[in-house]
Amino acid sequence: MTVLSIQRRAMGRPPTLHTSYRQTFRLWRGKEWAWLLAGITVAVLWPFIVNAFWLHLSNLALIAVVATVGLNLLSGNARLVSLGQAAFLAVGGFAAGILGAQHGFPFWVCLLTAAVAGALVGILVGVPSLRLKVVYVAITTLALHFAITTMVSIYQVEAVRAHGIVMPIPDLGFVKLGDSRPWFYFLLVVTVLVILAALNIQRSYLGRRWIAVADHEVAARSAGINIAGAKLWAFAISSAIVSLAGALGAYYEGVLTAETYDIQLAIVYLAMIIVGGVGSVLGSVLGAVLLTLLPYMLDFAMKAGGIALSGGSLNGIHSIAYGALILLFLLFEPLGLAAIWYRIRNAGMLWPLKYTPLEAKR
Amino acid sequence: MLGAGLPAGPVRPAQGASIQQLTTVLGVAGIYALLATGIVLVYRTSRVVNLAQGHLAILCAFFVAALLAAGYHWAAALPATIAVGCVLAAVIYFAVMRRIVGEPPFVGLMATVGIAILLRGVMVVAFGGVTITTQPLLSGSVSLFGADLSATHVLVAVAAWLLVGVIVAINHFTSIGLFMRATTDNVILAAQRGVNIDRIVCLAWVIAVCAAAAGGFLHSQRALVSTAAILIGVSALIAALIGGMDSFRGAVIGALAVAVSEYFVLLHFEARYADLAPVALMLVILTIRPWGLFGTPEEVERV
Repeated sequence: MTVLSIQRRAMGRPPTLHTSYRQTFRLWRGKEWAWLLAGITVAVLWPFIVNAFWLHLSNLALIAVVATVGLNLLSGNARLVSLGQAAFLAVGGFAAGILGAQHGFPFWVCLLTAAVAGALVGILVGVPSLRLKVVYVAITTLALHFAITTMVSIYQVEAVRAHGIVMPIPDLGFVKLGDSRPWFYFLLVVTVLVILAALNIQRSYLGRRWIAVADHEVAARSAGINIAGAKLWAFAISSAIVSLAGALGAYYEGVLTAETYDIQLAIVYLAMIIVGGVGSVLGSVLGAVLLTLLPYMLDFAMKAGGIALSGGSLNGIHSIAYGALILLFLLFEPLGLAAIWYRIRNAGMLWPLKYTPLEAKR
Repeated sequence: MLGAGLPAGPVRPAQGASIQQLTTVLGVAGIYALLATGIVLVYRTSRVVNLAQGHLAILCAFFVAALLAAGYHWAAALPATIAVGCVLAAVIYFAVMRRIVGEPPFVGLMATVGIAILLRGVMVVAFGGVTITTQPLLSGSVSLFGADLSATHVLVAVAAWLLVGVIVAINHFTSIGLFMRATTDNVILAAQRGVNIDRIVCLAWVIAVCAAAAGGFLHSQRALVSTAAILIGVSALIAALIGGMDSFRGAVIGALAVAVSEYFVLLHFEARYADLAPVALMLVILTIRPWGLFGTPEEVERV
């Protein structure tokens, strides 16, 4: 783990000379204006370039990015593997559903409450995890998964007596999010804010001590780090972000059903951080986008290839693809797509000089 | 979990009902114990927690059912499945687990998650939407202590506990078991004394997958099996954790505790809460004793 995280941090950093910590940790190097401009242009034009289906996929991907960034803080940075991702999404979704759809609270209140509820549940789960390590944390969060999904499905049956809760159309005051287009801009803003928050947390004391605790708990403790505090903050922040994504997802889908949140969903999110890059915000984005699109790409490819399968079998094919991707990345590129990008970028920055990244011997 | 197919609905208050219940619980516990011993064996030799145990079990159950449905006699179908299980275990070990030796536990855990979801996909594609009932090997009923017991339930309970006994006996009384225990105690010293770690860990996987196959088959003898039944793996994992990941005794006690708690909630409360009972039990036990009932405290530090 130590080797991996040293390698990860070394690769994430551009191969340039830094003479102060300030330089090393800064997010804005003052040379990204072109990138920023290009990004904004593409983002503004995007809903007008692509058709409705792709816009829908983009929105799904943005929601997945928020959720994955949240998960990656917990499972990637603090190395507390969470199988409870679906449960945290359900907490957010149902907090929004209960408040927004059942009691008519405004959109903003519901989003904030969803995040707070997620943080509280996260802390609740975090407490028994304090004495436990990786595997046990995974199982505790798996326990949480069963507890939460049972509770929400009972709520759905008892309180709603229907197959799902119909969510209201969110009203931002100046615009209603009824169509994919306003949704896209709204989700884009939220996603960018969450990404910036995550990047900032990662370089702050809060995030750096997660890495320290994950690398070596005893060493971290002897360096004066409050282990319990670090882990609880990881749970709280991560689950707040994930629950926010859950609430966004519920509003975006329009209908909230307990069956959405199955264990498969939790595993797909773990696949996203492994494929994207464990502990990397860029990795979260890449992994979330790729794996959100993957099922649609597979379906498309099979349709093009003339293979007709029933819906259930397609679901099985998606499962196989997720599993194979997890295994392939674990075995051959454990730092994920982010590492591939860093390698390309570093080589590009130093060209025509040769660059040998700090590769750990495996 | 409930995929275990405890009979839903009220239990008939017939004569000897308590003995019937006992047989049912023992059967379910036996299946959990069988899977849990597999998990413990793999954990002891390689410190990898196998989250795919339930998937392996149900995949093998489907395989047996497919062979039986194709007209093969069960005396041919069972050995064929065991053979497939052995090959599967070897593939899992040499293609995946062998390559991530020495990586942090996070990687091993994620690898088994990957295997699990891969197997689930294979199952859904091959047997999706199918619910199987294997023809019971025994029919009729057995009279025991004045109770009429279904012969299948008795067979399941007896066979499962017998196989658990066999695995534990292999570990305790054979030379291979000695090597396995040496690997558990200290991998490096064992390797230096000439224990072929590769072979031992591979063998542990083979035994674990065979245990899973047997558990899956026995499960399909007593309950309807669909892809949802992979959740018996979660029950087995909870059993192993309650007992302590590195203890066979713990796995057995844990399996009994899980089965009893599920059945208790099923009888006295509602069926939909039955999944939660073992989970709650596990959380309580892990909060008090993070290393489980019979585990070694240092293990918590390792994973």
